[in-house]
Order: sequence, then C-alpha cells, then structure tokens
Amino acid sequence: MNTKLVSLLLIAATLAGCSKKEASDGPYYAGKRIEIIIPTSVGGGTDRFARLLGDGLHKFVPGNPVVVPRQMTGGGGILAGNWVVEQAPKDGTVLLAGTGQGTLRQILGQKSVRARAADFEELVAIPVARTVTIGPGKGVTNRTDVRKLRNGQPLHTALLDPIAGITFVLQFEMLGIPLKVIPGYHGGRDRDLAMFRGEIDIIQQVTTTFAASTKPLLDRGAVLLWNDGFVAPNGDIVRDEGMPDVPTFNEVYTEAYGEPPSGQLWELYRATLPLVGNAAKVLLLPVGAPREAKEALMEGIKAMIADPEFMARILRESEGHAPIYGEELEAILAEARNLSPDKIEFLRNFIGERFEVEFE
Amino acid sequence: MLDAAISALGILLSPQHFGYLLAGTAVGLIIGILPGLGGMVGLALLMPLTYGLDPVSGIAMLIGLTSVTTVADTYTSVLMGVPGSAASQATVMDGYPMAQRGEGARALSASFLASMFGGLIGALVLTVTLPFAVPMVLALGTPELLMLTFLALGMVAVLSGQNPYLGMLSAVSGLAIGTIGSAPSSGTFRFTFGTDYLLDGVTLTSLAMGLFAIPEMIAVLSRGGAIAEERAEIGRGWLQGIRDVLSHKLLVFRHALIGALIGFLPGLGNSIIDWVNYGIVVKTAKDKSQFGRGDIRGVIAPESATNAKEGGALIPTLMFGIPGSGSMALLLAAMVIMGVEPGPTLIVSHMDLVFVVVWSIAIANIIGTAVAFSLSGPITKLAFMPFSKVMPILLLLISLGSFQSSQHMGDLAVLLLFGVVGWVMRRTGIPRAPLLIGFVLSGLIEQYLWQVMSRYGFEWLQRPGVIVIGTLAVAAVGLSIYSKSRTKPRPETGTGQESVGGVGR
Repeated sequence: MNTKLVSLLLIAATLAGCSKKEASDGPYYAGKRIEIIIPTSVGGGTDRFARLLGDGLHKFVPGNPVVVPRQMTGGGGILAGNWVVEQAPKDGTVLLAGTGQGTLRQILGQKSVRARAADFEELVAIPVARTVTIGPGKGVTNRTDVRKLRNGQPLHTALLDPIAGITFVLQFEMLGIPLKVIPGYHGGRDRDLAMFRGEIDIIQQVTTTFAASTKPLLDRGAVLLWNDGFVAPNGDIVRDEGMPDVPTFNEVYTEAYGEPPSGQLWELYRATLPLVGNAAKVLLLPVGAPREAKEALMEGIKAMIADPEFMARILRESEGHAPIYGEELEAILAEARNLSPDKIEFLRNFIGERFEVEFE
Repeated sequence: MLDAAISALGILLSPQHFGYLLAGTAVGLIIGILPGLGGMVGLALLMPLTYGLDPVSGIAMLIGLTSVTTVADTYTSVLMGVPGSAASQATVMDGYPMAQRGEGARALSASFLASMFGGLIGALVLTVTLPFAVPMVLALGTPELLMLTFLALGMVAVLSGQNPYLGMLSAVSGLAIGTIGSAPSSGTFRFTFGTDYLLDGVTLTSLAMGLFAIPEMIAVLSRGGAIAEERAEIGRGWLQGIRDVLSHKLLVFRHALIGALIGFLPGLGNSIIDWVNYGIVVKTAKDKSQFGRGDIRGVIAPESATNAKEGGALIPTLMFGIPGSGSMALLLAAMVIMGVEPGPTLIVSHMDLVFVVVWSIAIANIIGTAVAFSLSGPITKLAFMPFSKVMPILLLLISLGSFQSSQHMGDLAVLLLFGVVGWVMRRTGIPRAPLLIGFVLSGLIEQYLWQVMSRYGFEWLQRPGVIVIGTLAVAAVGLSIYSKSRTKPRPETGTGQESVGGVGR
C-alpha cells in the first residue's frame, strides 16, 4: 500500500515535471543567447549590418534570444570563418556575419581558408551595388570612350582586395584594358584622395558611400562609367534601382564594342556578381544546427522584414536595397555555389597570376 | 568652413564630449604640476582610455590634456625652482627669484594669463592655415609626402639632442622596430620570432609609456622623496601679474607667434622652445639689468610661446599625418585607434573634427587658466606631495594602460623592456623622441615608398616639389650637424632638473 502510494506520487510528480518542462521549452530560442561573429572592425558596413540584424533577431525571433555581436577580426575575415566552422557550437547559437567575397574565398579555396561554402546556410542577404569611376586625366568624357583605352597604357588603380573586387577585375579583362594596382591604400578615403591627385586613374566604389566619396570625384570631372547592378531571379543583369540612370557594365560594353560580352570571363562574371552584389552581406548559419533553430531564425527574419518600422531601418542602412532570403536567395546563388571545377580552376589561375593571392 | 567651425563647437559642447574635455584638462593640470612629468607622460597615460571611445570625446580629452600641461607646470618652476615639465625651465630664471622676494603670485598669474593668450593665439594660427589646407593637401602628392616624412624624421633626429649622430641612431632604431609584424603592402610577417604577440607588431602605447613614463619616474624618485628643500610661499601680486600681461600685449603676441612657428617646424620641441624665447626677450629688451633677478618679461615670453606651440605643431600632424614631436606622434596614434586617420583625407573630408581640435585647445586653455587661478592654494599642495606616494598609483595606471592595448602579457614585457631601454637612453643622453617618431613613421614611409615606386618608378625624384623638400632636408640636417660640431653643448641650467635635451615634450 505504502509503496504503491509512493510510486503513484512519483509518477504524478514526473508527469507534472514533464508537462512543466514542455511548457517552458516552447520556442527554441527562449532563454538562449545568439552570438553573431563579425569578421570586420567596428563601424564598417558589415558590422553595422550585423548589429542591425542582431537587433531584429532579438525582437522578432520567437523566444526573444539575447543577441551579442562579437568582433573577431584578423586575416581579412578568414579567422572568423575558420573559428565558426571548427570550434563554434552548431546549435544555432553562433551565426556568422558573412560577406560575398568571404563565400567566394571559400568556393575558390584561398590559402588558409578552412571553411567551405557548404559549411553554411544563407539566412538573409543585403545587396551592395558597386560603381566604377574614372578620373579626369584619361580623356574619358563619356562612357563609350572606354574603347580608346583598349590595349593602351595600364590604368593605375587601388584595389584593396582582388576577391572583393572580382567584378572590377573581370570587367577590365573583358574590355582588354590593362590595370596596374598601386599597393598600400587602407580604405576608401585614401583612395579617393589619390584619385583627386591623379595618382590613381580608376576605382570601384560601393554606392553606400556615393555622397561622401563618388560625388566629390564627379564634381571634379571624373566620369561614372557604370554600376554593376544585380542579377535578377531570371538570370538577367539589371540596373541598380537606386541609380536607374546609370547603365550596367554589360550595357556600356555593348554600346562601346557593338556586341554583348561573352565567353568564359563573362560566364564567371555572371556567376560571381550575385555573390559580391546581391548577397554582398549575408547572415550565415553553420550547417548542423537543429531544424527548429533554422525555422525560428527564418520566422524572425520574415517578421522583421514584414515590420514596416524595422524594414525602414534596413533600407536606410542598405541605400534602399531590399533584403533577400529563402528560395529567392538560393536561386540567385545557385550558379556560384555550383561552379564547375574547371571554372574554379580557371578563376584561381586568373587571380593567382595577377595578384598576390594564394590558393590551396 | 564656418559651418564646420560652428557645428564642431556644438558637438564639443554636448555634455558627454565636454565632460571628456574637462577630464583631459584636469589630468593635464595634475601632470603639469607634478615635477618632471610633462604632456608626453600624460598622453601616454590617457591613450589606453581612447580604445572604443568616439573620436570627438577622445580628441577633446587628449587635446585638453596637452593644452594645459604647460599652464600648470609653472607652479613648481616659480615656487620651488624645479621645472614642472621640460617646457618651463626658462620660467625658473625669473619666476623663482620673484617668488623668493615674495612676488610668487604675481609671477604665477602673469604666467597663467600669458599661457592662456599663447594657447589661444596658437589655436588661431592653426585656424588661419586651414583655408589653405585643402589646396595644399591636394597639391602635395605621395612623392612629396614621402620626402616630407624624411624631412621631419631627419630634423627630429638631428635637432632633438646634443649629438646629431645619436639622434639619427635613435630615429633609425625606431624605424627598425616599426617593421616588426605584418608588412603594410604584402602582409608577410617580419621579425615575429614565432610569437603570436608580435604578429601585429610592438604596441605603441606600451612602447611610449616604457620609453617616457618609466624613466621619468625613476629619475624623479632617485632625486629623493622631498622634491624641494626650500620652498617659497605664493606671496602677493595676483592682480599685478594680470596688469603685467596686459601692459606687455605685444610681447605676448610676438612670442606666441614664435612659439607657433617653432611648433610647426618638426624637431624643435619643448626642450628648446622656452630657452629660444627667453633668449629673444633678453636680447631685444632695452633694460636687461633685471633678467635673472625677477623680471616679469622673462616669465611672460617663454610662457606665451610654449602654449602657442601646440597649435603650430598640430598643422603638420593633422594635414599630413606627420608628427613633428613625440607628443604629436602619440596624439596621432590615438586618433588612429579611434578610427580617425590624420592626414590629407582628414582635411578633405572631416573638417569638423579639425575644428573640434581647435575649439578644444581654446576651451581647455581658458578652463585650465581659470582652474589654475582659482585653485592655486590646494594645487600648490599637490606639488609638494612626496613623489614616492604618487609613484605607485602612476605605475599601476601605466601597467593597466599598457595591458589594455592588446590584453596580452606581451604588452607588459614591451613596457618593461622599453622602460629599461628608455632609462638607459635617458642616462646616456640618447634622445628618445626620434625613436618614437621613427616608430610611428615607419609604416607610413614604407607605404609611401611602395606606392611611389610602383606608380612613378625612380621618376618621383625628379618632381619639383620633391627636389625642393629634399634639398631642404639635406640642408637642414647638414647645417645642424655642422653647427653642432662647432659649438659646445648648452651649459646645465642649474635648476635641479637633469638635462632634458631630447626628451621631447
């Protein structure tokens, strides 16, 4: 009798405990903490984007997890990617604020990059448009003048990173205009000033710094040649809706040379543009997290995009470029993520021969 | 430009920024009062605090500090005959005799007011040069900047000590130490000896505090706990001192301009500025009989000049990113830490920050002077505090500040190592400022050299600007080596302070 009572009580207690646990367990992220690893220094574009999305995740992911942005700079972002893949817990509590060029490094297998593109799932991406501007010293007054530069003297340029500037490098290869990279520029302002002084002739810039960087150059006689634009879901390259009057590279090429660009370089251009353009800033979830984690995160992302107030904040930060996620993002990145081995090999050789970048 | 000036004032006067300005000013006053410790030590102490600070707060704090150390260093010079920092040695000549005959207050008030006007005129000089800054910055390309860095380095090396060869040795060592870590252009690692710590190179904060703060502390301590055996009372004459300055307006103005000019020229640091101005005022005075016995002009002239020099020294620092002295090198480094790159791009795109600097100098000078006047009683007590009681706190702050920079034990090792190196250099008369400036300029010179060679090849040497600056550099260095080899070193000042030639500021 006594033992029966005790065991009944025990069973009741266990059941009560279970049901209680189930109730508090509700959302996957309740009481959890998400760390967003930021591979760049405080205040840059990637950092601001990561902090903004972090705030959104805290507000909109069910369970309102605490979100902590954490800087892990070094090695041009390589160290952060390696750490997330090799050491971070794979339960959805560590995310990486990635970049398109970071993904491209992984696809190409740059030396000391141990993370692979397949180690991550893209959650949400924010596009970045890039423009190319030529200084007044080269006799280019309108866009089609670029054909005068074909096979001429090399144009001096400041290229901080040939992987991030992959579209720029490919564009000039297709145009047949030689480039000479002047080393040692730290950042945007450094390069702008070198343009002012005529020490470099041509630069690629992001449109988020248009007012501060590009506009003053144009006021001094520089010419905005093109805006890379973006790849549309149907595969076409379309103009940046933020600069509807500025043609894309392929439009300028077609106008100047009388035929659209084609061939191996053009295919690589089309494959890499979505990475450094459409998905230039991308929030990554390391593969291996439970299903519930990804679902909760996606729910939060959809909710923050649906929230007019929060969406306005994102658009302010991104110069009006709407974030992309889900199937649309997958479709746009499909070509880059499935680059054939011979194309990868071609691109590795192409970059390796021209710049000081080593591959595994 | 006016917009930038007004908006900068608005930004600076917001409670947070103003608070940092006040904090910097307060630390500057204290550091100035403590004998032997100058703006250099103060900057090294506060620099670690700038990590993560917004640029306006940080700049306000550091400029506030450098602007007032030369106001406050007068206390001990006048009352005890011990210079509060290297910049007020000449003030002792007439200030101390005045205190001994009971006119300490007159000497102090004249010196505070002269300092304040000097500082304001220095800020004005900086402002007046700003409209020419943008065209100048655009006209000088990388080749000219490279040559300018050589000029600055050469002049600092040659002028800051008694022996030009030792100065050059020091500067070249600085350049060499600066090459440790990753190369600016290719990213290869150099001289890391297999340690992680050296991948990013030697930390500037630890290096600077080791070189300057630690040897200074050892020196003050080794003089014995009681700094002054004899001390004079403050005495009378507060109002008389103010009247003195007002009746010598032209003198203040003239020496402030000279001070700003000396500040502008790289290499002519604190260790000479007060003596140059003292020499000029004595030479140009009609009645020379009272100099050295308590002539108020002997206080006014050097004090106007030493404070005006900050405005002048900031011109090359802000416009070209080339520091002309040790303290400017530290200021430059701190600005980089806060994400502001001093140099041509700052002028072109961040005029508001430049005006934050200008306003900070002006406001700090006014506040510093007001505090110096109103709190002279309690402040004087600070000057008589045994240094053995101050030293442990300073040492703790220095170690913390050093460790803060990269939070690696290597920081403390660097601090200790360069503390020993700095002490040896101080004892042997090898100037330390050239080493620091060489260290700061090392990366810049390498970057410019890479850019110039890959852009122009050897043609860069044929550019007219490069030839002019290069000729200046060779002439300045050659001339000073020639003249130094013919004249004997300046005799000891007899102030109880060790020769500070080469200490920088």
